Amino acid sequence: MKRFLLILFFFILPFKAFALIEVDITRGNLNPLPIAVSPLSIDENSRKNFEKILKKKNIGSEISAVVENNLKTSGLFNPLSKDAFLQKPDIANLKPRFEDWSLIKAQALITGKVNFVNEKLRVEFRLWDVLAGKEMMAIAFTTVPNNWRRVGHIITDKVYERLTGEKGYFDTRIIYVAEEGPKTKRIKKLAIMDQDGANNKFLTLGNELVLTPRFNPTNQMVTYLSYFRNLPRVYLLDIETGMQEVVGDFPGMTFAPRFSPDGKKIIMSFAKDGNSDIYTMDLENRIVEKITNYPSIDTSPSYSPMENIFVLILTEVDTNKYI
Amino acid sequence: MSLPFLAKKPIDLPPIVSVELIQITEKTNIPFAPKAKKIIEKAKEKEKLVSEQAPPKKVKKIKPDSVPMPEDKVKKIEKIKEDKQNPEKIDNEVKQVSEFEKKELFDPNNIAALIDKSKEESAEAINKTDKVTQDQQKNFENAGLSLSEEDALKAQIFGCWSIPLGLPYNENLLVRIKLQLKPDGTVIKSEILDHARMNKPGQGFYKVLAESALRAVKLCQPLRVPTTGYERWKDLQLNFDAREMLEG
Repeated sequence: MKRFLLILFFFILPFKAFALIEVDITRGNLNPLPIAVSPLSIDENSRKNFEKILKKKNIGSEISAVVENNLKTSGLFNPLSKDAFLQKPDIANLKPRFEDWSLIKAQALITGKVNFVNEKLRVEFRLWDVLAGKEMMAIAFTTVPNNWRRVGHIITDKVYERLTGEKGYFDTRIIYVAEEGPKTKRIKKLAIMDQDGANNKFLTLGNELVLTPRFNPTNQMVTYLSYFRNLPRVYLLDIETGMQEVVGDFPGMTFAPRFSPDGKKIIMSFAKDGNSDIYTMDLENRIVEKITNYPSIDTSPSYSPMENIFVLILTEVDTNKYI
Repeated sequence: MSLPFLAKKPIDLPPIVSVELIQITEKTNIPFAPKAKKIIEKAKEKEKLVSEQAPPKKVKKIKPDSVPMPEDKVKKIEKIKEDKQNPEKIDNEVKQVSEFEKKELFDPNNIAALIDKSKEESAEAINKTDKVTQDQQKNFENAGLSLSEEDALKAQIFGCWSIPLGLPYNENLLVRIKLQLKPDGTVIKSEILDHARMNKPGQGFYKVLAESALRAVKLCQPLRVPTTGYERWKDLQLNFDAREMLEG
C-alpha cells in the first residue's frame, strides 16, 4: 500500500514541473512604429561632386528626407525628429550606440552612406533593430545620380517590407488626368508623377480630351481613352518611348479599357449602331476577340485579379437593369 | 405545408446560437477557459484518488463493528464473574484487557487486531494522501497567475506590441516566446520556441511577427509581474497571436 502511494506521489509531483505559465497575447497597438532616419553620411569630396551635378547641397540628407516622408505618409511609421538624434550619421552607420537611440524611443533606425564612384551614385544603407541591438538588413546599390529620388523610394520599400511584412509601394508612379483652364474651356492632359507627388510630367499636350488612364500591371504601358479628332478611341502609350497607338481597328467608338492582370490583353467596350459589346485584344499578336454578344449596352469590363473572369456593367435598353 | 417549415426552422437556428457562443467566449477571455478546465480535471483526479482509498475505509469500519460482538459477550461473562469480587476496580482492568490483551486470546480478536492495525495503516495512508492533495492544491493554486495578475501583464504587453499590419491574417502565425524572468520582472533570457521557422524561406511573415513580439517584450521591461510567488512565474511563456487584430 505504501509503495503504491509512493508511486502515486511521484506520479503527481511532475505536474508541478510542467506547469509553465502561458499568457496569450491576442492584442497589440496599431500606433505608428517610432523610427529614426539618420541622414546618410557623405564625405566632403562626394558631396561637392553631387552638388555640381544635382545642385543639391547634401544629397545624403535629401535621400533620407525622401525616405522619412515616405514612411510618414504610409501612416505606419512615426519618423522621429532629427533634432533629438544624439549620434552623428557617419558614426551611427558604423555601429550605432543603441542606448542613445532607445533613449529617444526609437524602435528602428536607418543609417547609410553615399559615395561618388565612377560618376555614379553608390548608396548603402542599414536597418537596425534598436531594442534587440542588431542589424536587420544591409543593402548597397549603384545608379546614375539623377535617380537619387528613386533610391530613396527603394530604400523605403525595403524597410517597409522588412518591418511590416507587406511589399512596399513607394517606388511606384501614378498616372492621372490633369485639368486646367476655365469651365467652358477645360483642358485635360494625361500626366504622371511619383507616388509622393514629385517628378510630375505631362504625357499629352491637351489638344484632345483624355479619360480613364490605366497602367499595365507588368510594364510601363498605359491605356486610355482619347477623343482624337472627336472620335473616342482606346489608345496605348509606352511611357518610356513615348510611342502612341490606337488599339484595334474598330469602325466606331471604343472605350472603357483595362489591362488583364498578366498585362497581355486589353479588355474594352466597342459601340456600333447603339449596341456596345465587350472585346479583348491580345497585345502580342493583336488578335481581337468578341466576348459578349447581347442586344444591351455592355460596358466597364474589369478582370478579376485572381481568375480569368471579369465583371461588367450590363444595361438593358428597355428595363435599365444593371448587373 | 406546415411540416417542412418546422423541419427547416431548427436547421437554420443552431448556427446562430453557436456563433453567439463563440463571441461570448472570446469576450470572456478564452485563454482562461482551458486553464480552468485543466484545474477542474486535476481537481477531479484528486477526488478520484481520495475516493479510491475511501471504500476500504468503510469496509474496515464495518468489520470491527461486526467482530467485537463475540468479544463483548466474553467481556460480559468475565465482568459478571469479576464483578462479584471487586466491582469498581476490575471494571477498568476489564476495559484494558478487552482493548488489548483479550483480542489475542480469541481468534476473532486476532482478526480484530489485524483489522485495527490495517485501520491504523489506512488512517496513516489517508493522512498521507490528504497531505499530498493539499500540496497539490497549493501547486495548482500557484500554477497559474490569477486573473488580475494575468490581465495586468497582458495589458502591459498589449501596449508595447506594435502589430505589423502587412501580415496575412489567414496563416498560422503564432509566436511563442519563453521568458526567464528576474524577481523584478526584467527578462534574463527570451527564446522563440519555433526559432527554426524564422530563417526558413517563405516564412518572412513569421519572422516579422516574431521580431515584433521580441521588441514588445524588450520594450515592456520590466514586466508587470506579481510581487509574490517568484518561483511560479520565473519561467513564463507568451503566445503572441495577431489573428484577432488583423481579421478585425
